[in-house]
Amino acid sequence: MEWTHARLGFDEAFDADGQVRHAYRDLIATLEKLPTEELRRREQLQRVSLINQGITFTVYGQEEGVERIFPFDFVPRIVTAQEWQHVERGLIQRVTALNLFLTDIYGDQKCLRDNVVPYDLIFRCGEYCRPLVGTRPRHDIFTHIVGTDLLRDEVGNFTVLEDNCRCPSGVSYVVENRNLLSRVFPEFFEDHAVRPVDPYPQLLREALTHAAPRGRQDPVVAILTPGLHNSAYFEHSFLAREMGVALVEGRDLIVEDDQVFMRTTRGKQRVDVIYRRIDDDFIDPVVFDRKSVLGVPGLVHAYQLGNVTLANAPGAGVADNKAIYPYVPDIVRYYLDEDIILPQVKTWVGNRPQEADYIRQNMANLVVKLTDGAGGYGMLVGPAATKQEIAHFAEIFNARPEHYIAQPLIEFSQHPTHINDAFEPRRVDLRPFILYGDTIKVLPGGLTRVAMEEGSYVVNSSQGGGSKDTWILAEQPS
Amino acid sequence: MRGMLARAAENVYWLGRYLERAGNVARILHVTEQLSVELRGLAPGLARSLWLDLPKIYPGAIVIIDPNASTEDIAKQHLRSFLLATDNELSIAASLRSARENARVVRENLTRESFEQLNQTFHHIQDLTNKPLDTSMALCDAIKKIQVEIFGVCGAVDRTFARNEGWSFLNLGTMIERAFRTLMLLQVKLPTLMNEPEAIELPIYYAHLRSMLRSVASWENYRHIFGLDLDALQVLRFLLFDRYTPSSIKACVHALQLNLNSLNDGEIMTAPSRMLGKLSAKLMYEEQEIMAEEHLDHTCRDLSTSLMEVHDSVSRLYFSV
Repeated sequence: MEWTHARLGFDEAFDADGQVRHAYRDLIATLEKLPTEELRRREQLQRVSLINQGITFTVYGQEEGVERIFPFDFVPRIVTAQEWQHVERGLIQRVTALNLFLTDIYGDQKCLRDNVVPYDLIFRCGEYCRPLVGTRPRHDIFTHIVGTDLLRDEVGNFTVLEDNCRCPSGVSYVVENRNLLSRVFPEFFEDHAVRPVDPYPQLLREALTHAAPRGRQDPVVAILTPGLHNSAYFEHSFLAREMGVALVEGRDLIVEDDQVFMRTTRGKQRVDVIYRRIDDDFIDPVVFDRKSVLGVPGLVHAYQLGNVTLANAPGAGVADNKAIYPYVPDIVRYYLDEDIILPQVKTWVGNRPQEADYIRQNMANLVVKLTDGAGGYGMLVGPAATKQEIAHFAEIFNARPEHYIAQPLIEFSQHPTHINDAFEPRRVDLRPFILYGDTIKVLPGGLTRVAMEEGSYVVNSSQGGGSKDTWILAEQPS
Repeated sequence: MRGMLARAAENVYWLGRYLERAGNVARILHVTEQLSVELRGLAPGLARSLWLDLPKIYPGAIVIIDPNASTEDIAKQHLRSFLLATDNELSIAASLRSARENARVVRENLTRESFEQLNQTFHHIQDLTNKPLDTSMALCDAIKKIQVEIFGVCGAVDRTFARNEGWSFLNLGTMIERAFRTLMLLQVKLPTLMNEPEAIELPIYYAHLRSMLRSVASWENYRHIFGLDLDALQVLRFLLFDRYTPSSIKACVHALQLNLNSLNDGEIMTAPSRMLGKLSAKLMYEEQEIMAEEHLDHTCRDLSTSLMEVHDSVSRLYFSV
């Protein structure tokens, strides 16, 4: 069996001397025993299984028939118990601090007065929702569900690339990838103590129930989806099914007397908690985009009065705005009096004239991103771009530099991936999911996205990325 | 008691209708092809008319045919159109596509097994569009396989679907579709069947009756009761009034009542319950009068209209909250 090691960046399975890392020894030994034909057969089996189960996502901007399976690579990514403890502590710290920050900027705004974060940055931030200043969500939790994107840097340190505090997606693939791998490659699990990921729906339901409006016994929870054609619709229906809650669209909800009801076969039924998978802009045409037909008129007012919980809370997107990201270490220090546990990527902010100049002069070496962009769109990967592309992007940047940040290109880690009957290194990131209920819990797993193209840095599913099962190993009793 | 989301109830209802429709079409295509082959030498005109009847049983179906084509080619055109054509909203492919779309919308109400079976069947029929299927035999083989898969879907649904409100809506959709299709079949075939047996050759007459019963999966059930005694009026009476054969109108109306009652918890007499009550009473107490009527096809048409009114009433009451 042919294994190629990563020439650039950290190789997750092999050390600098080319030796198999301890955590991967049994897995690679098992893989070595499987003939090429058998691997092909099982790969085909997993593809058919994904199609038959309808585990798909929708790609925008294409014609009908846009359902695609999310390519799955069967070589799991392994994170040791010790590594994970560190990641878990870092994520809990981060989510704690970001919620204190959100409570503050929608409340007393002390951090602004103390110059921890500049006023203008907050007020220019598209996700900052001024009408919600003074609204405190139940238990002061703004982000019930967070997906934080991590990379491993050149020496293998987990580093935060960005937070997703609005509608992070991908957790359904975490659970389904595990189901699939355990069915198609059961022998992988024989020698490993892998922590389960299937309790996620239960944990999510607990977190949502905990957030229910005061005094509501046995609260009714619903998931609000934009509908069948949304790219993450599979996930919405997966979560509704696994949690046993209704999957509603905006047209199924109505607000009367500042309370939210869903239209059922037995008349209107009150809804207490809405896990909304619709961006702020579309959630309520009265407060946000007037043209939105996906949202529910009056929903935000019902939320402000505490009659319904919205998860995540409207306005929470400020916390994951890319312009706020460079300030997160200061935010952690300010609210928790601690140093940040998980390091961040060095970031230049277009908002600061000196840093904007730096970005202009070094665009060819930087990754430049829109502060409110996502999904790999609206960005420039300088080292991989042509001169023309850089020149074109520079024009766009100069028109409104304050809407951009830039980071050095991180040589993030690579992981063995089965490509054309061989195992080749491909770049991977990791999105763990953090739930904030009575406590903050991190799912022991996460979505490992993999850039399937050789040399590519783009792991987004919308741009050809795939995924892997992520194993968090249980601590072995000494 | 918490109700089901109105939109989800509607999707489940239509899931039931489309699954039933796909199965019905598969069965009738298969039966028509068999009878048509049998009659091609004996009664070529009748063999051809069997195919031309299909769009009448499925009003709205689009089948583009060459009027000068041979009966075999006419058969192929119908088989292909009703199996695969995307522009024929009543084709098996279109029904399965719609069933799947509805299932995707209410996936949280379905078990994994049910959805997977349906999805698998949908993908198989999609794959068929890339295959040559240039003979009637190849088309019939494909239809037979798809029919077996549809049974698989219905089996998975039957074995795993929770017996809750959703189940009642699914059954309402299934039964309305089934009853409606039986009535359409009767309306279209009655003029031929009500001819005196002497008007057409006896073997053809029997073959016709047999195939009609088989088109609604009732041939064996009929035989259990009447043996080989085949008579048009008796077949008609059987398909309208037999309580035990699943495609008879009485059986469908009975099932509709049961499902509506479970939605109402047996407490309130709703508009569709009243309509079904009247229909049921008519079928219960007016059998002799109905069978004595001169224009039985008109009676079947009136029954179809009543069923469509039940459909409208269910939609208004439950889906338009």
